[in-house]
Amino acid sequence: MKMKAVDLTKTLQDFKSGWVALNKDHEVIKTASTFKKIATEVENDKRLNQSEIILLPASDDYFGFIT
Amino acid sequence: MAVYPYYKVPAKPKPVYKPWILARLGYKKTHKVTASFPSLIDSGADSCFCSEDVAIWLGVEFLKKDKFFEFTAANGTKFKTRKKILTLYVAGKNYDCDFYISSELPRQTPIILGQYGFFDKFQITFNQQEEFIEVV
Repeated sequence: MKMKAVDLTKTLQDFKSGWVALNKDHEVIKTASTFKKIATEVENDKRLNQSEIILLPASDDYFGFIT
Repeated sequence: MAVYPYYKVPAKPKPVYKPWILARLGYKKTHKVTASFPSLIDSGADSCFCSEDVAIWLGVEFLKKDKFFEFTAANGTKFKTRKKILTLYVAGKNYDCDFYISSELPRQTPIILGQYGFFDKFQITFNQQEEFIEVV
């Protein structure tokens, strides 16, 4: 069973730092420099369906992690 | 059983696939709940971890009497954490979970789901070639 990965490479290509908020279609709808700012903006925007929003630290390079 | 897609994200020299699963965190004392994070499913992590800025936003209070717990990353770097109980909303369930809170997590991975708190609750199968993660 093949499942297509969620491809965020194009979505994130213009965002190298800070945080982004994505909608259910994985489009960037908000940006902010800190988690506090993005989370508060999303929380206070009553037009948004909170359960559909994704918060993500933006980076142009997610490679290089070992755990 | 549910399946969740991998996430393909920018990296150099080529994009990388991440075993992320959407999760939300809540804190009972303040009734605050975050939006969803792509959270790293990390079989090498002994426990679950959360970045300090997320915990502070939830209203978690850190006290002088809080005990510090030291963990060691795979590269040998040690980092300090404090343990707090958060509500984890993931894979169709929600439950109280010990999270180790740290200001020293990699910025790209504010939430890490490890053995205690996640792998002991679900059966996880990684299938990177087929680009999905199965969670039972």
